[in-house]
Amino acid sequence: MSDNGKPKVGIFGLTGCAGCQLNILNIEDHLLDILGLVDITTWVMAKQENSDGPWDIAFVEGSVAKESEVERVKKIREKSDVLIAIGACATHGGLPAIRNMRDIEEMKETVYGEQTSHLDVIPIKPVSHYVDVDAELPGCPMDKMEFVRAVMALAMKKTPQVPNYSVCYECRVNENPCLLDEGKFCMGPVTQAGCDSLCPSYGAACEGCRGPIAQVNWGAEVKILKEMGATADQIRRKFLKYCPSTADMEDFQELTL
Amino acid sequence: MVIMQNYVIKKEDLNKLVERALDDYDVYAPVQKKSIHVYDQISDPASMDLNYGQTMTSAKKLFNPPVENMMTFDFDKKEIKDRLEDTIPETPSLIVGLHACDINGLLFLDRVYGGEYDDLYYQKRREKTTIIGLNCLESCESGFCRSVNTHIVLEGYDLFLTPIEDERYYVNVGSPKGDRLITLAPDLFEEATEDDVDAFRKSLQKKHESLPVEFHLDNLTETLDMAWDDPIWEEIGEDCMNCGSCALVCPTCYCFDVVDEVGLDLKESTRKRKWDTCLYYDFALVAGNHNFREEPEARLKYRFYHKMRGAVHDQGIIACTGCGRCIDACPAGISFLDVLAQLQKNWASAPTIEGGN
Ligand code: SF4
Ligand code: SF4
Ligand code: SF4
Ligand code: SF4
Repeated sequence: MSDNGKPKVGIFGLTGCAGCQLNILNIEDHLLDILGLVDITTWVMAKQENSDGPWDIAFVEGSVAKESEVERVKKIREKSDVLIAIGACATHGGLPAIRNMRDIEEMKETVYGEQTSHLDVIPIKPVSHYVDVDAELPGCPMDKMEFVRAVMALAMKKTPQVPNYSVCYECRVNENPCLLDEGKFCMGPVTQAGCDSLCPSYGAACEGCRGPIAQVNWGAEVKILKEMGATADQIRRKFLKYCPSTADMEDFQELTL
Repeated sequence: MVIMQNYVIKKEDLNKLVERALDDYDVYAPVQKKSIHVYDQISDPASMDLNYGQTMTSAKKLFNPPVENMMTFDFDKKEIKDRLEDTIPETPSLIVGLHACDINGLLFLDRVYGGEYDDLYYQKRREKTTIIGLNCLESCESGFCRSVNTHIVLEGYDLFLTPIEDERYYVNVGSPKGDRLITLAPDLFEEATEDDVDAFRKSLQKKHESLPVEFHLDNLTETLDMAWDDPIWEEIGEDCMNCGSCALVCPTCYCFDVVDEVGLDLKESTRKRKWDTCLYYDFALVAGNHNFREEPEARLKYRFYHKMRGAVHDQGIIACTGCGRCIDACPAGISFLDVLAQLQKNWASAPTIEGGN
């Protein structure tokens, strides 16, 4: 706690596009309220002077993509009471982790040419692969109102909740025509809600950026997509685009695509 | 008992009636939304589309909306305020074009929200709503109303329209609220003549011939009693993703979750209720992390049993109006009707039906 009794908060970025951090800055309407609840003592993106910890709550954006980031995230964990992973990169590997599906040496050369010896790249993993995570706010980017609610929950010493049902819930409440009926490969049925069915409400299929819901029935979704004519490769891409870490899950490996 | 007068109205004059009603009522009607229909508030009668098969969600949403504020708490003043009065609109509502299945759906909800526990949020809206029903002479795509006997309504409407020849509707008056609508525009209604009654009869005959009976209700209770361990549950459990779409669009599914949302200043909080469904893991999750229906297929099965068996126990009737919405809404293509029909087939030779051996 700070001297003023408010929890000390640190916001950190690993490998990602910084979109989730930017989304926190975008909360203009509520940012002052949030500052009333917590003291942000570390946030390199937004502050000139930053403390070196410890923190009551750490928000970590981005995936772990380099050897040096393993050390960093472990240090943050040691110095924080509560650690929250924010955004698809931190929770599931995110878009950067498509790198895992290519040959890493080839990738290095494509991007940096011959000078690659200084790179300490490792296979990309979500934060939870290396350290204990107290809660995850998924999405690409993380939903800013979900962040606000998480801060409030933490200020009240509660665990932030994310909806434990699929995007179809929000689609039905918003009365969207189902895109699967239009032949679009929608991941909504197996994707965790919380975005208010953002993409289907605008006619775009859900890309699964918020990751699988607990107890997900992937087999059923695969069957639907196959019946619609999706190839194994298209299905794999759909499942792994935002959440490559699901490839490590046993029941995903058991899927026959 | 007073026998109510029956009328006829030209189809084009219905729009004029709605036009006049707009001064006194918030009017809701089916409107086209991309490839589907939904009930929506209208400000122009031309935007309603009564030539619809089924709306995606039911008229339930107008009486029990997906989210609703119930009360607020002020932590400093230690005050609790009921939000009932703020949530109910001052203007009465008029819903135009409800099919028989949806009127029966509301009659079912009346029992649930008005039985042992009075749900004032629901009831106040219900009291302030006038309903113009619309008879279906042909089946919609997935509906199976006749199989569950909800293709007819005996009550629950204020006016009920049946299309008859010459682009007119035959009008049954169901209540004083219906009479009031007629006095709003007496010039648009004509008393039904004997020929009109004949035309009405013909329409009913047409309806009778075109609505199929797809399965039989009569032995459903026994069937479900016997089918508890039927392999079908595991089979469809493999296809079901527990997305809950089926329950969310259902006119008789009435469950909601109650949540407290604290304000940003942590000084006040709002108690809300939101639609919930038994398909969700958290639904049967209780203290100590115990879950009554841990497995996905157990939750799917529960929905069937609650609607078709448990409701009979509780309310004396099944909780299904045969509207077919769950069939249209299921991304996995699971058909409520096919499952019931299959179970009846599987168990038709069972001892309690055939007399035993
Ligand atoms: S569009 Fe996608 S998210 Fe919406 S109901 Fe259909 S499958 Fe579910
Ligand atoms: S609809 Fe799907 S892809 Fe779009 S924001 Fe929501 S979870 Fe992400
Ligand atoms: S169970 Fe299906 S068919 Fe029956 S009332 Fe509900 S949505 Fe309609
Ligand atoms: S709509 Fe279909 S997939 Fe979704 S919960 Fe109902 S039965 Fe299961």
